[in-house]
Amino acid sequence: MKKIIIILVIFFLDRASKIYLLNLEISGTAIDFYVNPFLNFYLVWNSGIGFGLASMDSNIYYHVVTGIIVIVNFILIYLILKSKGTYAYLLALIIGGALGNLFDRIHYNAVPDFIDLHVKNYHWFIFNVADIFITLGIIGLLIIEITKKEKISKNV
Amino acid sequence: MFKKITCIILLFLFLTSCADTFNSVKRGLTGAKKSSADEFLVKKKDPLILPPDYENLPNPDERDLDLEEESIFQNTLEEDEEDSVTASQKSVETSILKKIQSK
Repeated sequence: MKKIIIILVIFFLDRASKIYLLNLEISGTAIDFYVNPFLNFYLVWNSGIGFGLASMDSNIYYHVVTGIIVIVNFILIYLILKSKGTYAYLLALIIGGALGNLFDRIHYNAVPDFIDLHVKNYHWFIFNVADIFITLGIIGLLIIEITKKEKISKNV
Repeated sequence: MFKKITCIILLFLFLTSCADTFNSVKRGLTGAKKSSADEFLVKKKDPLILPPDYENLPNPDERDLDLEEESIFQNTLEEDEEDSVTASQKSVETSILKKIQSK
């Protein structure tokens, strides 16, 4: 139950942020805000996957990638049903964000990204709220994997 | 373990949607050329040609001659004016002299 709440909260947080910014854009304000020296809000549409990879003009290719993402989402949901503990909560973080991005891929045919972190002229990739939660979940999973290996090596 | 880590990284790639404004990673990986102006679309310069009614245009030398004539005419006019001024001055002088002499 808690996992479902986490997924829904992340999904609606992500949706709310995107809808707010898209409404601002529709009302005529250009999404190009200066927040502080390290953070800008700048709207970019990404039709590809992470890091702007695989963004092509071809429609068929886009739908194939979307299909793969749908399958990945189903696998994640299957995994979360099977798993317990922190592993399941980390998966909930990932699924919440992944569903947010998948919704945009289907609804707008591209994902709106708007958080632009930078130090002077060195910009990190522009991302959105869903990406933050996915990244947190992925980092958690990686830490679990690495610590697991250490435990095994200690036992040996 | 490495298989799992690669799976997690692949998951990350597929599920996130962070993008660069210029998709620099994609450009770097695919070796795509930076979009620049197509040199073949630039229009060639037309060759230099004389205007069609070139023969009917007035000759610039003739105009200079006219101007010179005008300036000569104006100079003579000015000279005449100067002469007239001096003549009137002289007449004033002589009249004064005459008056002094008469006294």
